[in-house]
Amino acid sequence: MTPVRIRALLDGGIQLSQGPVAIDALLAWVVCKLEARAPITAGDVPAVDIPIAKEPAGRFHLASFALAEWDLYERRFVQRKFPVGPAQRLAVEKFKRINISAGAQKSYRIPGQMAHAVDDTLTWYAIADECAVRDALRFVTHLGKRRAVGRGKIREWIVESTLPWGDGFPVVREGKPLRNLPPDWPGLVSPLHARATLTYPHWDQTREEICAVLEAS
Amino acid sequence: MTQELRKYEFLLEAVTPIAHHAETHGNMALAFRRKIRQHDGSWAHVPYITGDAMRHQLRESIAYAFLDAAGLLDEGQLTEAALRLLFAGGMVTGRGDASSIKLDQYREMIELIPALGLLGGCASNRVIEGRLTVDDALLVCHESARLLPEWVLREAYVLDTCRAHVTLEQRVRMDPTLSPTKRKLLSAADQVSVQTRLLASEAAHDANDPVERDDTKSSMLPRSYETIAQGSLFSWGVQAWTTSDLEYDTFCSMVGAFLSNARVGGKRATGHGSLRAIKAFGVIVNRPSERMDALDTTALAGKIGSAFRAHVAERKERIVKFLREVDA
Repeated sequence: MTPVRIRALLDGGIQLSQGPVAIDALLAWVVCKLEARAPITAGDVPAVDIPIAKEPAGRFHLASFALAEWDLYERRFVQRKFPVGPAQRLAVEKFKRINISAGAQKSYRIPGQMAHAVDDTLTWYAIADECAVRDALRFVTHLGKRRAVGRGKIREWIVESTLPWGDGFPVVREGKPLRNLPPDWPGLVSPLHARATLTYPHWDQTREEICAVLEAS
Repeated sequence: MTQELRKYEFLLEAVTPIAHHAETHGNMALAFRRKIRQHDGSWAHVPYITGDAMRHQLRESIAYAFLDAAGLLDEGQLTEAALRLLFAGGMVTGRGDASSIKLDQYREMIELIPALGLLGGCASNRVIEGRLTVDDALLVCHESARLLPEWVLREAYVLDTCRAHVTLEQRVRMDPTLSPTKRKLLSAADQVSVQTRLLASEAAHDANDPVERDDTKSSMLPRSYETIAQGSLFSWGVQAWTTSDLEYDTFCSMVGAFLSNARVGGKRATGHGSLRAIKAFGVIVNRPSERMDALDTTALAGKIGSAFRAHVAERKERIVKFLREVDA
């Protein structure tokens, strides 16, 4: 395991609504996907081995969250319309009226924010097995929300060795946490505190605790 | 068959102008554009076809292929919920018990409608994760060049600016009451009414009375809209995680059915929105060395789909029963 810098060169904007992307969680997703593991429920988290080093107590991995500066936002919409055309042709005779302004067939158009990172780049730092990380990230083609319709597309992953910036690498820089950390983690200076998960799966709110968290850029 | 991530990349050509609009201002419809960063840090607004539109067309194509294979296209047999499930991905109805996911029902649904395993959707209390990712179809132009695959740039040969690909068109919805021939088709009472309005309109025009002119104006409606010009090229990608030969065949059927008569956007009834694939590449990612094979796009729809069609046809009775009872 060596210090590495991981960069995702995006094809355009990305839609993030639940904070920055955790590279350790991404790698865990790849492992689960390739092993075709069954979905899990909250609180029931089997171990998932990923090629990133763990901190000495084994509570989380030594990897930052995605670091980026955002310089432009745009609005995109999710739309749904009831398939009126097919209904006229294929629906059973008793289906006579469609109310598209209320109820089950209601059409909608929901706005969402898409952000563009400076240089279209998200960056992570980690203590990791460079080759194994590079190999696994081939399977991650899109990041963020609305991936199914092409948002957050990744043009290229660049995984390269890097020089640590000193104490705290890769999770603390200039006294600030670069991922969710225990509040008493050495090197932190007046960090922001919030309830958060220390490690993946980050959607599991039952495992939230008070953490020092990454401040929004 | 092991789990595989399959990617197809296509170079599409607009056979007719594409009218894919994001919004309207007054009578003016604007084409969808996305922001693309340029080398100098500035931003270009490049027309494109949204991944949402392309994905929906894939869903619709495979829905029709599925209904055809099940013999359900010839007469109206679908319930409202079945229509929603097949053509719009369904919805969480709230009638199911959200505390438990019925895996056996989920498996039955995926077995009977294999495309749902790829496209995802909702039925009863189940939200089904999709495994199909569809990219925006990005206009091949100067401003998007750095984002395009090399083989696409080679095929496109000469690039122009995105502005050069956009044309502004105008159409008019005519008012039939302005045509003397058509007025003769009106009933006597309506002929008098229309004649009176036309005279009032002329009088208001002569008197330069804006209020009266508004009240008596015809229903003729000129409207303008942007289109992406005929012959424009688009770079488009679609990928899916497939776990069986049947799913792979379903994926190919979906893409093939769509590309055999690809239409996107609005104004399709008046000569817009037709696309064709002129070149494609397919990649299977989880191999020690990624391999990239040229695809025969003209053959895609014809040669594949036999496993999908046979699978659906064999289960016709169960499919009819399932679609009658599904809550989506």
